[in-house]
Amino acid sequence: MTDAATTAAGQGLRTQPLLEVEDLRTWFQTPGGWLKAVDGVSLTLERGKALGIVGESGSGKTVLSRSIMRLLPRRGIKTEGAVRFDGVDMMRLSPKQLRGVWGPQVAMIFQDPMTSLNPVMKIGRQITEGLRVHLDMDKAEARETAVVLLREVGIPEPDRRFDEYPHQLSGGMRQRVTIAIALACGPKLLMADEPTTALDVTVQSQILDLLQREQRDRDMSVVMVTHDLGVVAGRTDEIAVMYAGRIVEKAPTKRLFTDLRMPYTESLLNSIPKLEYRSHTRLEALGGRPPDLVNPPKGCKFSPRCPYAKDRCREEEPPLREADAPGHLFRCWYPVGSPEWAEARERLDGAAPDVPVQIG
Amino acid sequence: MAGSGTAHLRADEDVILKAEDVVVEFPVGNTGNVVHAVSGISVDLRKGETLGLVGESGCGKSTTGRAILQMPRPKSGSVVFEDTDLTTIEREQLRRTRRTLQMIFQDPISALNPRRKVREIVAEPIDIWWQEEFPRSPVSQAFERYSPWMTGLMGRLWDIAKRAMPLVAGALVFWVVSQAVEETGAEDALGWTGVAAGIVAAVAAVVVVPFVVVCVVLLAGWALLGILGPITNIPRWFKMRSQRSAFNEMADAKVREVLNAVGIDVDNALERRPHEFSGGQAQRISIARALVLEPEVIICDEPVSALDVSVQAQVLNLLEDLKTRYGLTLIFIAHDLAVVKNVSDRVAVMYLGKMCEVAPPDTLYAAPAHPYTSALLSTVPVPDPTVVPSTPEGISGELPSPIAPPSGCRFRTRCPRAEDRCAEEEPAMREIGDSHYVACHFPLAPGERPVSDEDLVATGGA
Repeated sequence: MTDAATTAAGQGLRTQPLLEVEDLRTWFQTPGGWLKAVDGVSLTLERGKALGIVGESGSGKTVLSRSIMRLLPRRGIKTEGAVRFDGVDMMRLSPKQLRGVWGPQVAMIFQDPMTSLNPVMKIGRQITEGLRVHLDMDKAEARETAVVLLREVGIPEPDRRFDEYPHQLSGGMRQRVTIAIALACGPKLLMADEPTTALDVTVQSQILDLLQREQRDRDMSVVMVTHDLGVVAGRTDEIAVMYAGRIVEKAPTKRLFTDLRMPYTESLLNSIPKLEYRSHTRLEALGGRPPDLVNPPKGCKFSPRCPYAKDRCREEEPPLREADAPGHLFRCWYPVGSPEWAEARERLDGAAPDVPVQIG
Repeated sequence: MAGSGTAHLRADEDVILKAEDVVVEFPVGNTGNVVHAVSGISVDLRKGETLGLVGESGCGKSTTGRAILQMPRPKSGSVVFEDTDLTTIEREQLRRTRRTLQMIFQDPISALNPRRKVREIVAEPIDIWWQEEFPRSPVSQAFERYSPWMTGLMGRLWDIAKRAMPLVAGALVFWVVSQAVEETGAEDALGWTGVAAGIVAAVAAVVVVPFVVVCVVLLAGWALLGILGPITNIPRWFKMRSQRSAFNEMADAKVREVLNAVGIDVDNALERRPHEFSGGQAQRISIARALVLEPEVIICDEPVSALDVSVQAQVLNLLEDLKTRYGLTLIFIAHDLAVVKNVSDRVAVMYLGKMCEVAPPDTLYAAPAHPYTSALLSTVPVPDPTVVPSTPEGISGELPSPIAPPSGCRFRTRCPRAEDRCAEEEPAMREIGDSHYVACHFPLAPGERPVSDEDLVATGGA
């Protein structure tokens, strides 16, 4: 069965998408009822493409990435739907089969590089471990490959660093090591869960550049999970915006920034302070908090915080529907650009100082 | 960059806080090395102004903020707040000054005591200062005032006693033996013991007995003070008790006012504990706690770094509102330049414990003069896919070790424009434009980029 799974994965047709997620649901059992962290998400990701998943904390983006990886524990969790990776249904794989997929097929980078590295193991061994298990390399060969990898991810003096422990490296260097580990077995898909949130701005751009370069060089697919639209703007092909466990807008990156439809995406974008703003520009902040996922609000989940919400939004949940451009989906009754939206916008602009204004 | 100097300090009367040449060093274990966290930073703050401090982690921006609050006290330099030099005043006086200097921390959840309710957390500062209005009796004041001194003295006396103990015990044994020898009539054979016993007795009378007497008197006196203190405080206690309910009402109103001001749903929040709140709400609560004493200066140490973008915008707007409403002066420490630009009236860029550039935000961002500022600016992620993410211009690698910082300009090891002079001579702060100061030998002209693209290609980007 292991063989069947891995060979099927290996021989996946070049034409079919690398990753297909269909109506994925991940619910957690809580004393108050089922917490619907991921509630009906469908995605496809082509080979060699990069997908950004954006949302606030609590929008379910991390749970989604872990559900795809099958990294969540089984107890108290209900998972439904299908995750097809390279033609293989990930949901049906046994833990043993999964071990064959993690590494050579899919790899993951986490937010905090300190806790994702083993503090009592030399970094060299943490890299070679996967090489030796999955690729059957001997010790010398694995070391050689690991040193090459370390050099590739931009670690100076890789030969010396090979024998160091994680605490001897800075945060940025550690994240480079976790990237080296993830890349070691040549995965087809790299999941990066907030890979730069714990890092400095200068290091952040270095790491993002590194990820982008590796993606291009290796023709690898990347899923980048983040809360910062700025991080994914220039570095992904497609962006999915999540809210309350669902995808509320999905579009090719350029399209999303020029022609967004979902008011939530608009709010997210407007709440980022931009360098071009004069200082003391009032930010268009989104009020309130993400909804309670045990008892989500009726109708559109975003309606309680939406500046344009109407009665229909509070009653009826909008379906994910297609915009006039291919691949652009959104979930809103009165999307940005519609006459109802324009009217509401005008009302807001007239009434509230909630738009960027100069205050001193 | 990474220069010293005080050219950027202003001399007008509105300046309420001025830190000059502040140096903070931390020892590295027992190695004798020190981390040069802050090496000669000068900043000043006008009333009602927001000063933004930016830099990478490890550049000493948080340490600068803390050094202003004297926690810990800087190794050298002065911090003058409203005509008092905080680095030289006494502990008690400093404690009183801290009412007007408050701080907000990065991680709001860990900054709030998880066992206490929001009501208690926010009311605690006013409660403490209300109690201060009822002076303690002179006896207990004396007890408190001298207790660190007394503890030190006791420790020293005990040290002496410990060391003298074997000698005294030996002498005692000797004396007992000599008495026994006398009784058995063997003094002819061991006559010297009698003489020695006499000496021992004399020493005991002159040294040991007075020492013990002094110790006993001190201890007894101290214990008496300790007992008398609470007793003499009884009237104070009654006085406080009689006014407690009035105070509680006042405190409750004040707590509600500040919680309202920071946008917390007061009735729901008062009886809850910090873990029941999201990061953004917890940060609002810690802002409320900082506000409750009506401070003049609030030092915000990365107040929005741990928050989501949407919540970050809420908190930034809130800080701006509160600044206007309460007439606050802020020091805003952050690593995100876009955030700092948004809130500041003046921005100071730091690198490895030194100041690089000081300017009003719009000038700084339009025409960065320091290569480091320019590099930092180019790393800000832009939410626009048409902007090709640029690698930080010429800047590569990471911060050098602050244990052995580079000579001359501290940025030279990563600077694309560095020349020999940068290694030999530390650049000083100088004015290059209208209230625009830079510490660099080769500052950028407005619009100039630190390296041209050809240079980058030629040097392989190093």
